Amino acid sequence: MMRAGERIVETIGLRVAFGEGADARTVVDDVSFQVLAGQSFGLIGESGCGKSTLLRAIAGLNADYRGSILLQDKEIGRARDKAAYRCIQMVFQDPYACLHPRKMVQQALLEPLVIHGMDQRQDRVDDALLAVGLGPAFRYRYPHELSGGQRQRVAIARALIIEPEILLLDEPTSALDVSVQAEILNLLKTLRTQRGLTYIMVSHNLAVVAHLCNRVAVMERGRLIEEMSEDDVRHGRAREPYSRALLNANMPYHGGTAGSAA
Amino acid sequence: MADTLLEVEGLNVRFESARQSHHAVRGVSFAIGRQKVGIVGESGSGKSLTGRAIMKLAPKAARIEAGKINFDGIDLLAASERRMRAIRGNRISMILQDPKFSLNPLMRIGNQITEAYRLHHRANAAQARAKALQMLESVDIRDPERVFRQYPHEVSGGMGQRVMIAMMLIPEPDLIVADEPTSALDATVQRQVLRILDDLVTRRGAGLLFISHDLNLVADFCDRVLVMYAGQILEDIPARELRHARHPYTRALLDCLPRLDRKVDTLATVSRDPAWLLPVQPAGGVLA
Repeated sequence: MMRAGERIVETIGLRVAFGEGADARTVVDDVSFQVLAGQSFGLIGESGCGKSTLLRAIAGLNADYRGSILLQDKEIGRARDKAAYRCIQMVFQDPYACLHPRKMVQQALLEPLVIHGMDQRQDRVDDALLAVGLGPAFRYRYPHELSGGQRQRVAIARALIIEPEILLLDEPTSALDVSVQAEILNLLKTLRTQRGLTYIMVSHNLAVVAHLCNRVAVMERGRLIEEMSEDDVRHGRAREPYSRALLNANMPYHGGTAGSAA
Repeated sequence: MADTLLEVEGLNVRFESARQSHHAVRGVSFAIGRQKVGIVGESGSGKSLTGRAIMKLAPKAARIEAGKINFDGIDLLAASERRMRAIRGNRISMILQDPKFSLNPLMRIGNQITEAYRLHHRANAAQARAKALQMLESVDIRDPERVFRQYPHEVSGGMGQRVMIAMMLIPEPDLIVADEPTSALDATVQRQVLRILDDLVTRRGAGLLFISHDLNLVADFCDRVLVMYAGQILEDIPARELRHARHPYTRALLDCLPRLDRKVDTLATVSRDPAWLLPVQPAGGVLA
């Protein structure tokens, strides 16, 4: 287990491109950043700026990258071993798409345990369900029998069941109602304190990012252009004009004049 | 409101099957002029179904009953399906939630937009193309020529949503029903989309029914807000007074949002009170 304050994730000159030849588009361009253990790091930017692609590369879902990803100061290769996968888990945006519709909750939760050869599987399933506020009775439900918020809780339970140290959150609440969003954000916050987790979260909702993260990085067209503290975000203090526009865009909308400033 | 565009009285939508019946919209009445009216509520509150029932696009299993649905002097309840087809898209158009499911995946974006235009306007292919490109540009798509040739899967969600808005606005409708048009978009794009909608409503004097779960957005953007809960309208208040709303449900929805100007450790959650349900005509409805 890492001690708080140590460097847990680092990327150096990370670059991800899609397409070949003339069609090639560099989506993540020379991104270097560090996240310390126990921190909660937010990534903000417009849609299409590469923030989800960056997250997927870190999660090991896209091995076709250049540059390096370091985990606890050791470079992890493009072909990862199970230990590396176990260390990093991800929660996706759409709770309706990320659970297998024909698998019961307990099957979805047991699968990672089997893959990683963990013991006391039944107990761990119950514990994971309790930790996300659902309880063992939810074992025998299918995803269609759950609400959006309950599904996202199952997705969080599935990510946490193999005891990762880093949780990657890709817009974890954007598909949910505001009332459910509050519950999930509270849950994520509690879990982080209880388990000393490190979060890397992508969101376009600044208030959500500021609520959960202590450090926030702004991405524009594949590049990390600025890092800010939570306080800077709350007070709209940004160095780059692009980040300022982004912060302004989250301020209330007032008629037709507001758009021209952004 | 001198100029009423849409008038709905006592709208009920029920889903009935052999075993159970679900009363999804319960006696909703409201009127919309050429203004921006927001409907807010959680998922399952019946807000989308209300929007769809107006256009008679509710699922087949739904039974729609209403005292009155009048649009610009046309009785929509009595209108034939043929009449409705002429109204939908041309007079009332609907912007849907998710471009992934509402754009035709097998058709190039440009063709979908020109089709929408030529269905309702007499125009040749070149005119329609010019109009479509202009419309794509007006929804802030930087490279309209390229997007025109692309398929829906080749564009991002935000782009897809703007394409859909372009498609829905190109026949220049009088009433726009927008069902969560910006919830899949990030703040900058959201703002652009709102500005486009705002322009159209103000410039052409169109009415807008804006369905959303984002109270702050609705408070800033709309003129009037209807708050829905469990198929009923709990509150009908001017948008600028939304922040001072009295109903505990509206208050709870406002309080559970994380805010930049107020740091809290734990967000408030919404607790529900059965007493909020107003009594409605008994029709064997099951509580949601």
